[in-house]
Amino acid sequence: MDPRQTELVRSAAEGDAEAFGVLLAEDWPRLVRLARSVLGDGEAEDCAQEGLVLAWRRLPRLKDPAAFSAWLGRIVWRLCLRRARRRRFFLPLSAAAGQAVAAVADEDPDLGRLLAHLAPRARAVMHLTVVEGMSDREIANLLGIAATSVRTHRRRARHKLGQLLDGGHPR
Amino acid sequence: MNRPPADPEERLRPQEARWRSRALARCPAREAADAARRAVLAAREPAPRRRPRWALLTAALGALAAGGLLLRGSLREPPPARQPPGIVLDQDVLLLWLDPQTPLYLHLQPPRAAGDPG
Repeated sequence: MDPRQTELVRSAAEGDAEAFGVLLAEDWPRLVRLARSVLGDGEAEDCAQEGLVLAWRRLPRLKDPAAFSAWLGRIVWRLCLRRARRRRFFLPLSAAAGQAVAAVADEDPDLGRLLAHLAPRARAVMHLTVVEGMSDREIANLLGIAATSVRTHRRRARHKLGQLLDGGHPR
Repeated sequence: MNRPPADPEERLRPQEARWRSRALARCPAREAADAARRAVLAAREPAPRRRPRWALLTAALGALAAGGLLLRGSLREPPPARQPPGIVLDQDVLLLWLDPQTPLYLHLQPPRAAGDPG
């Protein structure tokens, strides 16, 4: 993190709302994308917004300003996970088969739509790998899991997405 | 005819590339500065109090303990007044009566008259 960013984090921690806004310029779209991958479009921005409220309250307790982005990402991720578990954001198999058929029939299948057939953690791993281009270690740090778990989730997710694109029921 | 690659990573590569470009092209409805402003305003309101799970567990254990004490208390109660102390059974009903002032009696047969060989 560059010195200016560190200074912004310190100012924000002392109550400077403008500094907080400048800090979020880069992180906010990334947080919303992560929330979209886990929750879908409907709740994504609300969940990310709720994460910002928590972050603003807890910012004075952040010991390492350089870890601000990862720390903020973890807050939003945990909120997304809690919401996803509460509402069991899963499509039933029949809907999955229907969507798979539509996805395959489409000349340009949209993997983003098929993410709904994965568990929340698997969705996050795929999103952070494919869209954000993060390393296994960065993903593990953000999601609070081991790097080996990241690879396992990704391998299984790709297998399942491949099956859906083939028009079969994922096992 | 070209077969699709067997490796799932290779198979999904074209779709993943398209997914990535679509996801990155979509901007949030709210601007970052606006989101930050809303967060600061919302943070001024008191945070909703969440009852921790351990408090519920403690309450449940306490209710269980209270229920156990009441049940134990009811077991220690003497039988109805018409039953003289020390005789705890009649023919039809099995009673288990604990009284700290008298010994425990437990009969499975009706009381025998004196001299009755049984």
